[in-house]
Amino acid sequence: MSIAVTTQLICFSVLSLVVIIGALGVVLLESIVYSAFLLCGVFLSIAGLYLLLNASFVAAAQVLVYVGAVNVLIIFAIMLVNKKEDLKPIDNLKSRKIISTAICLTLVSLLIRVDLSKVWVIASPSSSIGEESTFRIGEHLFSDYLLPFEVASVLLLMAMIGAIVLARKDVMNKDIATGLPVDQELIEKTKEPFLIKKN
Amino acid sequence: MNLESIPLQAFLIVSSILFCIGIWGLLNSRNAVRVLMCIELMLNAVNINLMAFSSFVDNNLIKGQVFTIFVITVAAAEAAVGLAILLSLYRNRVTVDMESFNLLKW
Amino acid sequence: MENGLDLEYIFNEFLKGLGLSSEIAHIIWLPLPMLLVLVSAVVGVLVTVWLERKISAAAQQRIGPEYAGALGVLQPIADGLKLLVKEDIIPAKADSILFTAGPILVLIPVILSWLIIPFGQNLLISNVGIGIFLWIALSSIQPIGLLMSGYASNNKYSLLGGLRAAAQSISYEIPLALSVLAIVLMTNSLSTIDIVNQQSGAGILSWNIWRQPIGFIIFWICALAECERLPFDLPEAEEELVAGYQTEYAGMKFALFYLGSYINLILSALLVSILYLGGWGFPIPIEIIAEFLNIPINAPLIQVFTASIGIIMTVLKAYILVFIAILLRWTTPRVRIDQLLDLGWKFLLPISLANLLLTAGLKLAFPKFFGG
Repeated sequence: MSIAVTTQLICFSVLSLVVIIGALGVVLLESIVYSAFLLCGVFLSIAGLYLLLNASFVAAAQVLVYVGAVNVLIIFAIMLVNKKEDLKPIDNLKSRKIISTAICLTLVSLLIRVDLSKVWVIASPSSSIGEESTFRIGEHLFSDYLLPFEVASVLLLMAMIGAIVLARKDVMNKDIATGLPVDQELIEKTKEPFLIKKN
Repeated sequence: MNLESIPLQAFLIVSSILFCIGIWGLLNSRNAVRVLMCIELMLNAVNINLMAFSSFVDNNLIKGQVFTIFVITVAAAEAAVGLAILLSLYRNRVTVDMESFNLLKW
Repeated sequence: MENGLDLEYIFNEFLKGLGLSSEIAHIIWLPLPMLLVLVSAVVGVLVTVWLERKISAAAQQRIGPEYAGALGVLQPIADGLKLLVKEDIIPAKADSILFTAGPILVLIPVILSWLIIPFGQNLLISNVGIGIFLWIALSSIQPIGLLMSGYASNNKYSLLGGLRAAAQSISYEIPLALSVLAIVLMTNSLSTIDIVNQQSGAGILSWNIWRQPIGFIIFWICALAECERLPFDLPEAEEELVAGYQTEYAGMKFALFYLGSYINLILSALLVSILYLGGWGFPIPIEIIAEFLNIPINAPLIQVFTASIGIIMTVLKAYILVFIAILLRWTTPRVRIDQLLDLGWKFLLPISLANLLLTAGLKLAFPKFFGG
């Protein structure tokens, strides 16, 4: 076994272990802040997997968008809403957990069975595009995927406007019931939240 | 670098496990932020699949990589809007517990 | 354009001459450039710290460090040693894992970015295909480390500093990436080597600064903001936030932040010199000089000479920019946080978008001058 092959194997096993254990941590850890930082590790090692797959451009895009934007946003949101709160106990939580675990285990075994039983037609490595992939992605984006590309830009614009409108305090400053202007501070702090039923 | 050492199936298995972890978290989290994180995990699992197929099966045209770029774009938009919705929910209900967002429940 | 020294090739041939297989020679070669770059980054930081002390002293009509070595050149080493032997304190109520991981996560991406800094045609660690995009991607990891240390310190000033640092760094990343994109549009390549070669035609006249004056200014402002230098050092504004996310740090962990910020400053200066000031190019093309002196350009001695001129030029250009940054730090007041974010989102972002559009238009109109 040559050195390159061994390195690849070691890289792959370490990266996929980090992905899976990190994802388990994201889901299972008690502290939401730890989950968010572990999520960053998961994203980074997925970028590493992309590097193993010869896709350096997508790996960099993954780091830039997921780690640099999505994860930072998530951490920001956590810092804005992270208040110690005791969750209300709900009944039949345990049976829900058991059922969902069973469903997920069934699904994972089904997926793995499909993965292993189907014989995939592997293209020969000689036709691989390798480092030229950035150019090829550009060609695709401006020829056969031009419409999705343009639509994606509209989607991003819509998402930006939507996020600003939803998150700003002074946009929805009219009381829905009375139509009077309200002080947002009151809605947030002292006033009984409008949507909660009194019981 | 050619990948003679790692089979395609290995990438697919990693992505299947990641996807199911995501689903489990989605079903069981009480914290709305964690639900969003689980959605990101599932999208990433799909991306690993697309990337693995594009590099093993279609390594000249690499359409899978283009799809991954689109998925990343949509995921970024989804995260921004999702977190904004979360913030305004938190403003109205002063909690991030998924169980208390039940106005649309029949 | 495959001229110039190829040290890797020479080294590998030398080891093969000693009877080693090419694979082992490659493995022995691999750590050498990394080590060299790490050492040069640290030396660069020491020089910058000394410069900062001396220039700030001059700006305030003081003498500055004097007794440690001639002109105080050993002062930064003394500083470093002091930080090295200082007690490493983790506050009792801090989150010790995140508290330790924060500074590391801030430092590592900065050092990794040195992968793509070329000092000559073959004098860089790795000519990766995505080149400059790697740096943009890596520098976006930093805010996570800042948020981590800000949160883990369990101190409201640290948390606010971390949040500010992250907000600042994501808002200035976008105009930064857009101005780099304008350069990439002209070069038709992301590789830093190609970017420098594209500027090497007519010496100083073909540098990108003449073709991208707006991009140059945007890039420099954003680079200062990314490095958290005055006038954009809000995350550690003393009057408001004590020292921002660094407040609770002491000893080696503080030194990591310190090192990270200075390495980042040098890195940004190097990148400005590569993207806009012709990289390793001499103001007068070396080919013209060689022709004038009737020396064949491929003679071994000339190649060594060109390579050293290249390294000197890159470092010199970078240090001129570092000098400007230091001078700015000691002469300008700090902006307010809302002014900072307004400048980033409402001014630099539209301008850099317009610059990109203008570059694309000029490229179509004058393909000869703007890279066909």
